[in-house]
Amino acid sequence: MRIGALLSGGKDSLYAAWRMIQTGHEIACFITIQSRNPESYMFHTPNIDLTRLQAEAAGIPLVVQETDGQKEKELDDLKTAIQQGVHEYGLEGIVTGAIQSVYQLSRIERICHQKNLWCFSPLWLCDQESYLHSLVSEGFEVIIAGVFAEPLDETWLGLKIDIPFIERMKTINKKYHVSPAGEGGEYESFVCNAPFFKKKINIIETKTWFEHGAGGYLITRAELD
Amino acid sequence: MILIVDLTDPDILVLFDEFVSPIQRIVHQCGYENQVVRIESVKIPPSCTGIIICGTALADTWYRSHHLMSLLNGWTGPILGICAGMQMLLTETGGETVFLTDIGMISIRSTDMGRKDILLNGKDEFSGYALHKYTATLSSHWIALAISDITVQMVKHCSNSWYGALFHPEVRNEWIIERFAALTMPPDYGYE
Repeated sequence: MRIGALLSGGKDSLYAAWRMIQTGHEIACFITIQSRNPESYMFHTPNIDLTRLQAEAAGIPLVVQETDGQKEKELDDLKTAIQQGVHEYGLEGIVTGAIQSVYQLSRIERICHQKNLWCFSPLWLCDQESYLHSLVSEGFEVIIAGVFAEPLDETWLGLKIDIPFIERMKTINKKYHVSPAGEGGEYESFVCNAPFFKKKINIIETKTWFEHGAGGYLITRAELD
Repeated sequence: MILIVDLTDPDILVLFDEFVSPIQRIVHQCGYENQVVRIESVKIPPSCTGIIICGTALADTWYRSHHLMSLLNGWTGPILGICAGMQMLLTETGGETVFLTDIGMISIRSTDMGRKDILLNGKDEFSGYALHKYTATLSSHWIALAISDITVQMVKHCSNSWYGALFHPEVRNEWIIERFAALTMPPDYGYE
């Protein structure tokens, strides 16, 4: 099946795409929604501009659609992008990285239903700790690109998701109930390498900020290896 | 042991991750042994104490060309059919398929019968995640345990401990699967 993968730049969207590839499907294009609204429920993530580099690294075309990010209206922009994917790349289905967000998934499911497309969410309700271990063991290189909940502070920004990271998240989860995969918006991630990337992304320059309990790791310059 | 029946399209393996794995994880976390089987090859082992028939994707209609009852072969023990699983139970016992699409969180209210039933006891109202484009009518073999504004959401067979949930209880209503798993334990269920 020819699949369009919704791409935020983070681990969940790219792992979901990888799962589709693993099970015999073709990622015909990525679809990125660039929201100008940092409060967007659906689409805003740090380093969203760099999905272009990820698509290039994977050798997969990218459809980019900008949105003002107004609640519900941004869905029209998503519909436009999906329609473009259907028209240009013959999409038969969409894959999302949704893990627990009914808000996000139900809206994407409705659009897919309207357009007669399959909708896949292979990470849906997964065991988050097992998922993080799969990311590491299957060769994903992922860094923390934003923190938004206690006790995650500026020391976490730029950290690689590896076994020690997973162990720390397990400890924190017990005490603070932070979702191990960051599904509650506790942290955001950025993928530098994936098993289906032909090239790795090297981060050259970054700018970090942290204030009022939230912080970001903005990649200001990066290139393909 | 709880038998978990996978009725997703066998050519789309990734559907297992989304519609079967979450059920298996909940049953496992509740401490119950379980075994997943494909609907085409259901064989009920002697150790089986209950059966959960999972749902599938909105676009997946593969299950509609398959049958369940002949495979169950006289089983009268507990069954929980989820979404497509409930549709199969209803249509194979006299109900008819109805086109009805619903996607997203919905309000669900227990009926008088539902309030008295062991599965819904104490839950008058709750929210559930709907993801379906079909439902089925109820023959005289079934009663409604819970309803939404537009259709019946939970059913129970009049004679057997067979339940159906049109919404997906694995999403935010794990307690339904936990309660169902608990009622599979009495030893007096099984073959006729």
